Amino acid sequence: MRSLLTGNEAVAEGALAAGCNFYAGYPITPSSEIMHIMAERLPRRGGVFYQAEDEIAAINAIIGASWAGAKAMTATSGPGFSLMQEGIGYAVMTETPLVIVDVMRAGPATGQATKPAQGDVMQARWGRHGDQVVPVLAPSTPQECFDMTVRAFAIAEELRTPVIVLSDEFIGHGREVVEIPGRVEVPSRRRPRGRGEPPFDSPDPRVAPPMPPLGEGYYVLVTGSTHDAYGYRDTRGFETHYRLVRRLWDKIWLNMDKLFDYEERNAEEADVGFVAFGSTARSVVKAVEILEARGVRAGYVRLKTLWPLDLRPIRRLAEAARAIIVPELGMGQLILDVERAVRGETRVVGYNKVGGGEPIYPSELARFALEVLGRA
Amino acid sequence: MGERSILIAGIGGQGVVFAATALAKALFLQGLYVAQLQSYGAEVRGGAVLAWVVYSEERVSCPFTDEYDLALILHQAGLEEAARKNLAWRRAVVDSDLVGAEVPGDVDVYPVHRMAVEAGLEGRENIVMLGVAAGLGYVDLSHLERALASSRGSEENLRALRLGVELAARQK
Repeated sequence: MRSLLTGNEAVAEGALAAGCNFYAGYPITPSSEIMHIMAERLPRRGGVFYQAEDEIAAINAIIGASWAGAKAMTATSGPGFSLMQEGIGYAVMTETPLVIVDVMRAGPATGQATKPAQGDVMQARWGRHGDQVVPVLAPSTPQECFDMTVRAFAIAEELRTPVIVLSDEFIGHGREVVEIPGRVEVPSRRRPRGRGEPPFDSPDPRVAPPMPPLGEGYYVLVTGSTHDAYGYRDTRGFETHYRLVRRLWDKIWLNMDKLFDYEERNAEEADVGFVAFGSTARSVVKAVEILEARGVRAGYVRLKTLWPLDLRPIRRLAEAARAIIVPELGMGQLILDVERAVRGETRVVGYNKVGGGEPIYPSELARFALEVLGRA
Repeated sequence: MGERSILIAGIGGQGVVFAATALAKALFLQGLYVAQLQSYGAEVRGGAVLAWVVYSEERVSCPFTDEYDLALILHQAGLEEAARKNLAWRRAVVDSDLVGAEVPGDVDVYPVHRMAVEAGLEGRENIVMLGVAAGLGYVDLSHLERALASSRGSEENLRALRLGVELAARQK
């Protein structure tokens, strides 16, 4: 079915299609529409909607719901996302499937609630203390808001992990045509075959251990403290901690092929290359068209997964390009990855703009590229 | 047809976003690909509001542009915001009652606010402007009517659309 939807509406539709049956959240611009839709639609289909007293309660509620067997999610923006970090860390340690949508606005602090930004990249990756890794997906369009929310649920269930969908105000409040498939397949988490199968260990680190549902007769200890294969705390030993954290780390990093996704154009023959994600990548696509029309060989890598990140596509872009431009609605976070990929072998320049609802226009990006190439 | 774009510039409370949403819906009903966006502040009323639509027979690659085919300018505050952002347009329709400054480009000027008041359509200047856009051929009137059929005060909205179409006809 073809519909005209905002990115936020498409996230909610994606979640419902994926079988989300528990939503807890606290309203915050520019993410609130996701919550409004879930409040209206979930109870009608037998799901549970819970407006929490704050984002800390919301994240903890979805952790509990997930352990009770629900496909659970929340959505928020910067200030709320900050409050959720501790809970997300707990979900990593307890291997709890969750979907968290962050519709980015200009920060820090309350910043500009109605204005888009891309400043939560590092927070999405590293906002928790300790060694942890959480997949981060980055939609560019309402269509991808739908598709990636579905995908986030699939990853969460398969790998028993929280997954973050990093949208922004432009995408969340932008209305575009979305194709909604008739049926969406999302796997459900694996249950233990018997009481002997450990819920917190796996012979293959790429495969998540089975997750026993609470309330159905399994004895299971769930703790954010270091624990062994059966959930027993060990807050002193090296072996237990290293084994657990190593496995949680490998569970995501060794699934890079499955998790990492990107799109590229002219990557191996561009004189000037762009690396971008989210709403900014839309301007990059157009800027490349403008440059090509002027006879400039331009290309891009658009990251659809921000974490875990495979640097190879960026490296390939850098091999041909004389310069790489990294446009961001912020002071520059993605550029750090590009610099890390390129290792000083190609010039890397940021194009940074944030606040006031200003997009990076394709025309200004094309002009900047010409300047960088010394042809302006 | 190629890609086309329309900017609506006004002030909070004028229904700028509502108009852009209705316009996007109409274009969608026409079978086109549409991208519709807006920029506004945290205030419900009073701040400058810009809303825009980019549409095409193909999927819209980029929803951002600084050069519009048409600008519907409902208020001085919106005009100033557009100027701050260096936005340009090929053609503009301006409400001379609420916009004091000279508007650059190929401009049609109407006392939209006064005409709306006289027709008992005060507060529906946004919809009158959509009627002008239809009259100038940027969107089908019938699809705009369908898009607004279920809106609050739909009868008045349909009258406002027709007033806009009549204004555009004077220009032709």
